[in-house]
Amino acid sequence: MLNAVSLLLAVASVAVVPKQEAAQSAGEITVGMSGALTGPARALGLGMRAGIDGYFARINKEGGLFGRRLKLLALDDGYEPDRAGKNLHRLIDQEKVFAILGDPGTPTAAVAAPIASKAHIPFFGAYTGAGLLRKTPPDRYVINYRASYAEETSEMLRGLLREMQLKPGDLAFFTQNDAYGDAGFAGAVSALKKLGYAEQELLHVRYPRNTEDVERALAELLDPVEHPRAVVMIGTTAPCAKFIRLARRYGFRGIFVNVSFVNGDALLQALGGDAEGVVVTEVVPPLDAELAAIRNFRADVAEKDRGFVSLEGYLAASAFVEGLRRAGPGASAEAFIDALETSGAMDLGTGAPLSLTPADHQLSHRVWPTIIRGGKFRALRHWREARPIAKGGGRS
Amino acid sequence: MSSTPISFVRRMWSALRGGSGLEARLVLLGLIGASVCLSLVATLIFVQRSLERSQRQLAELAVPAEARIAQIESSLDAAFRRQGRIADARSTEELEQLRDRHSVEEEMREAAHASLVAAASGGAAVPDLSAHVERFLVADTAFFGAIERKHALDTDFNKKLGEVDAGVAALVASSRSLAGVLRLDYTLQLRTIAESLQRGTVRVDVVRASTFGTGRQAREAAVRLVEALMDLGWRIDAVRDQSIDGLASMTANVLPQSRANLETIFQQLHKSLDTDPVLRTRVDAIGAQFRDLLPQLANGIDGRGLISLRRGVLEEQARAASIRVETEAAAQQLTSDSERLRAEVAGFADRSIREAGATRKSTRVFSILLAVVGLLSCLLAGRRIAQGIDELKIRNRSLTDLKESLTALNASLDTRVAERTCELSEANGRLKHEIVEREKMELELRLAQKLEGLGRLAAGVAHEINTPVQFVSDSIHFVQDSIGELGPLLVKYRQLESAVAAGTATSADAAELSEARESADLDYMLENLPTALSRSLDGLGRVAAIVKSMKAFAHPDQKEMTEVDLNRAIETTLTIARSEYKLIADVETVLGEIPLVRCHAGEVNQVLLNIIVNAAHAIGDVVRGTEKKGLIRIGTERQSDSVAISISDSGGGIPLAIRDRIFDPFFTTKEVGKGTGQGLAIARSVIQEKHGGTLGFESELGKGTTFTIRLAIDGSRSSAQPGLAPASLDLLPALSPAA
Repeated sequence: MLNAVSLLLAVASVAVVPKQEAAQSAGEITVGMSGALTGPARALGLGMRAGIDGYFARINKEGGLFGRRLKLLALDDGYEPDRAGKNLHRLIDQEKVFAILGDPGTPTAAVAAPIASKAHIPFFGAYTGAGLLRKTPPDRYVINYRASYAEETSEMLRGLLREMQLKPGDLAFFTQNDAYGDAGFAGAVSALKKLGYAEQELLHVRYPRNTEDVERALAELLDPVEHPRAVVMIGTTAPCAKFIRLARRYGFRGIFVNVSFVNGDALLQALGGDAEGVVVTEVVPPLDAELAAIRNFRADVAEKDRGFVSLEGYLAASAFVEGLRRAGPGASAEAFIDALETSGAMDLGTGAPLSLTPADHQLSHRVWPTIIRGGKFRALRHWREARPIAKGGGRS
Repeated sequence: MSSTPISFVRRMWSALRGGSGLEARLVLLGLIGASVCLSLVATLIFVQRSLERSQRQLAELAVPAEARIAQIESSLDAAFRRQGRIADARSTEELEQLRDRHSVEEEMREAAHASLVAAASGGAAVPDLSAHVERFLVADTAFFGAIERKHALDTDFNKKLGEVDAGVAALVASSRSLAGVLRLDYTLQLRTIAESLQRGTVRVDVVRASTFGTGRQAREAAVRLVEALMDLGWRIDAVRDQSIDGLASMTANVLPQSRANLETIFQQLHKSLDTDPVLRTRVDAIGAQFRDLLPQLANGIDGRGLISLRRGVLEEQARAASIRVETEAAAQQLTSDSERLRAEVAGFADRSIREAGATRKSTRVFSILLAVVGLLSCLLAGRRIAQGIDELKIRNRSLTDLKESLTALNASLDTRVAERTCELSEANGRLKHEIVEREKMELELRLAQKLEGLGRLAAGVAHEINTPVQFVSDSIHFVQDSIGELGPLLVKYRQLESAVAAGTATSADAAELSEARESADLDYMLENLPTALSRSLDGLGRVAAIVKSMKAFAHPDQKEMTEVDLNRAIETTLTIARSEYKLIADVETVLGEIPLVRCHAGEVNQVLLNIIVNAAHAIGDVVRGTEKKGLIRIGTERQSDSVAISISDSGGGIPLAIRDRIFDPFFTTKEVGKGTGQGLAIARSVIQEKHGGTLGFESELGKGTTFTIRLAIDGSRSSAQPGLAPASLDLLPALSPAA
C-alpha cells in the first residue's frame, strides 16, 4: 500500500515536470534529484525525496530562504545508470537546477556525479558511501553528507573481529556485482589491513544488480567446506532479504551485517520475523534518539515516510540549506561551496558539529550500528550483543 | 575649259600619254599620293583591329579563365571535403547537415560554364567541363544516397542489436538463475550428506541422488546452457565486425549449430527436471524465449534480421565506396580537362602576345615607309612647284616682252600694218597659246598644292600614330612578361593547394611559395596589369580616332553636296592638322549648336585645313625660338539661314600692305618652295564660287587674324554644279571661270 501510494506520487511528480519551465526564478531555488522512484530500489528514492521535501516544507513554511521558496525536482532513474545520466542532463541543461541533492545509488552516482561536476553544479548529499564520491583531493562539486562505506565496513569489521573476536576466515561477503558491491568489499579489505590482518582469501559471493538471483551465491556460502560465522552484506533490500531468509531456512546460523544502503526499514519490513538479530550500520542516528534534529524530523515528515533513508534525506537537506544560508542571498554555486568549505562547523542538531574543508568534502563521519530486536531497530552498543540468541533459526 | 568629269579624265589620260612632261608627272604624283593615303588607311585599320583583338584575348582570357579554373579546382576540393565528411558522418543528424550542397553545386556549374565561355571566346577547342561536372554531381548524389541508406540500416542494425543483446542477456540471466537454484539444491544435498556423515549415519539415498540422479544432469545442463547462451551473446556481438563472407558463414553454420546445441540442452534439462515441475516450466519458458529470439538473428521474418541488416550496411558501404571511385574519376577528368584548358589559355596568351609583337613590327615598318613616301612626294611636289613657278615667271616675263614688242609693233603699225599684219596675227596666235599654257600651269599648281597637303598629312599622321603604337607596344610587353611570370607562380599555388588537401603541406612549402611570390612581385603585377591594359586600350583608341578622322577628312566617295556636321568637320580637321600646331599653339573651340550644312565635305575640310595650317604658321612665326605657345580659337554659330565659322590665331596679323592681295593666286609670304600661294585663293574659290558663301578676315597687327567662313545651311546660293565635283583630287572648281 505504502509502495503503491509512493509510486503514484512518483509518477505524478514526473508527469508534472515538463510543465515546470522555471529554472532559478527570482522566487524559487530549484534543486534536482535522480533516483529510483520505481523498481526494486524505489524505497531509496522515495525515502530521500520524502526527507528532503519535509525539510524544504519547513523552510518554505517559514517564508523560504531569503524570501525564496525551495523546490525539489525528482526524476526517476529506476536505479539504472543510463537513465540517471539522461536525467542529470535534463536537470542541468533544461531545468537549470541550482544543485543535485540526495541522489541514491552508487552505480548511478558513478555516472551522475561527473556530469554535475563538469557542469559546475554541486552534487550534494548523495545517498551512497562509495569511495568514488570521496576522492583525494575531493572533487570541488561533490559534497557528501554521510559516512562512507569504508567507514561503515570499518566499523563492522572492528566490531566483528575485535569485539566479537571472530577471525577473517569466519567472514563471508555477499555483494552486489557492480560498483556498489566493489566499493563495499574494497572498503572491507582495506579495513582488514588497517586492523592488522595480512591479506588473505575471503569468501566473497555475489548477485546481479536488480535481480533476486541469490541462489548461486547462497550455494557457495552453504558449501560444506565453508564455515562462515558472519556475512557482511553489501546489497539492496530485496536480494539481501531473500538471501537472509533462504540462508536461515537452510540452516545457516551466522550473523548478517548490512551497510546502511540496504535500507534497514525496508529490510525489516521484507523479512518480518526472519529479521531478528540482523545488524545494519546506519549513518544517521536511530529514530528514537533524543536529538533536536530527530524531533524536527518527526514534526516535518509523516509517520509512514519516516525511516533511516528519509532521515538522511532530511539531514542532507538541512546541511544543504545551511550552506545556502551561509553563502547569502543570490549566491552562486561557487559561493555556496566556498561558504561550506570556509565557514566552520555547523550544528544540525545531530549531537555533533559537522564541518567541511577543501580537503574533506564529507560532513559526517559517524556510523551508528543497529540491530533488529523484537521487530525494531536498537542501537548496538556492543557487538557481542549481536551473537545469535536462539539456536532454532529456520522459519519463524 | 571643259568642266565635265569625262573631259577631266580625258585630260588626265592625254596628259599621261602625251601631255607636257610636267603635267604627266604631277598627275602621277597625285595618283601615288592617293594610293599611299588609301594604303595608309587600310594598314591602320588592320593594325587597330589586330591590336584590339590581342588585347581583348588577353583581358578576357588569360586572367579570368585562370581564375575560373582555380575556382573549379577549389570547388572540387570543397566537394571532396564534403564527401569525406559524409563518409565520416557518425549520425543521421550529422549526415543531414551535409545534405545541402547547393553552394558547391552552384559554384562548380558556374565555374565550369564561365571557364568555357572565357576559353571559347578565344576560339579554343575547349573540353566539356560542364558534362564532367554533371557527371560528378550525379555520382555525388548517389554517394550521399548510399551513405544515407547505410546510416539508416546501421541505425536499424544497432537498434536490433540492442534488442537481441537484451534478449540474450535476459536469457543468460534466467539460465544463470536456474543454474543457481540447481547449484543450491546440490549444495543442500552435500550439506545433508556432510551432516549425516558427522552423525555417523550415511544417507545413501541422498548420496545416490546427488551422484547419479537426474539432479546432477540438470545441474550440468544448466551450466552448459549458461555457457552456450553466453557464447551466442559473444557471436552476436561479433556480427558488427564480420565481413559479408563472415555473415554468410554465420547464417549458414554458426547460428544453426548454436541453435542445435541449445535445443539439445533444453531437451536434456526438460527431461532431467521431471521431478520439479516449477523448474521445468522455467526451462520451457527460457526455451520459448530463445525460439522467439532466434528469427531476429539471421534474416528475420521481414528480412530485417540482425545479420541481413548488417549485410545491408556493408553492401551500402561497398556501393558508396565504388561510387566514390566514380566521383573521383569524374573529378580527375575535370582536373585534367581544366589543366588542358589552362594550357590552352596559356597558349592564347602567348599567341596574342606574338601577334601583338608582329603587328607592332609591321606597323613600325609601315609607318616608316609611309613617312618616307610622304616626305619624298612632298619633296618632289615642292621641287615641281618651284620649277613651275620659275617657268611661269619666265613665261610671264616673255609674255611681257611679247606685249612690249607688240606695242612697239603697234606703234609702227601705221607704217608697217601691211607688212606686219601677218606677223601680228602670228604673234597673237602665240599669245593665245601662252595664255592656255598659263592656265595649265595654274592647274598644275593647284594639284601640287593638294599634294603638298597630302604629303604633310601623311608625315603628320604617321608621326601621330607612332606615339600611341609605341606605348601600346610597351604595355603589351609588360603584360607578356607578367603572364610569363604568373604561370609558374600559379603552378606553385596549385602544388601547395594539393599539398594542403593531401595534408602534406609544410610551412617550408608556404615559405617557398611566398618567396616565389615575392620574387615575381605579384603585388606589383596585379597592380599594374590593369593599368597596362587600359593604357593599351587608350592608345588603340587614339589610333582609331586618327584613322577615323582621316576617313572622315578624305570623304573619298563624295560626289555631290551632302549634309555635313561642320563641328565634326572642324574636329576632324584639327586631328589631322595636330602635328602642325601642337607644339606651338593651344586650340580652343567654341562650337555652337548649328544645323547640318549642305556642302562638299572634302572641299570644306580642305579649306578648314588651309586656314588652320595658316593660323598655325602665323603663330609659329611669332613664338618660334621662345617657350611661349599661341592660341588658335575656332568658333561656330548659326546666323539666320547660314552658319559662320571663325578661325582666329594669335599670330602677328597680316600687314596692311598685303591685305588686298592675300586671296590672289600665287601670293605667298612664305619662302620659295614652302608655300604655293594657292591656299587662300583656293579657299576663296571653294567658299564663294562653289558654295556661294563668303570668306573674309579681320586682322590686327601684333594681335592676330580671324578668318570667317559663312555658308548657307541649305547650300542654295551655291553656284556650283552638283555632281561635277570629283572626289579627292578636286581641281575643277578652281579652274572654273568665276560665275
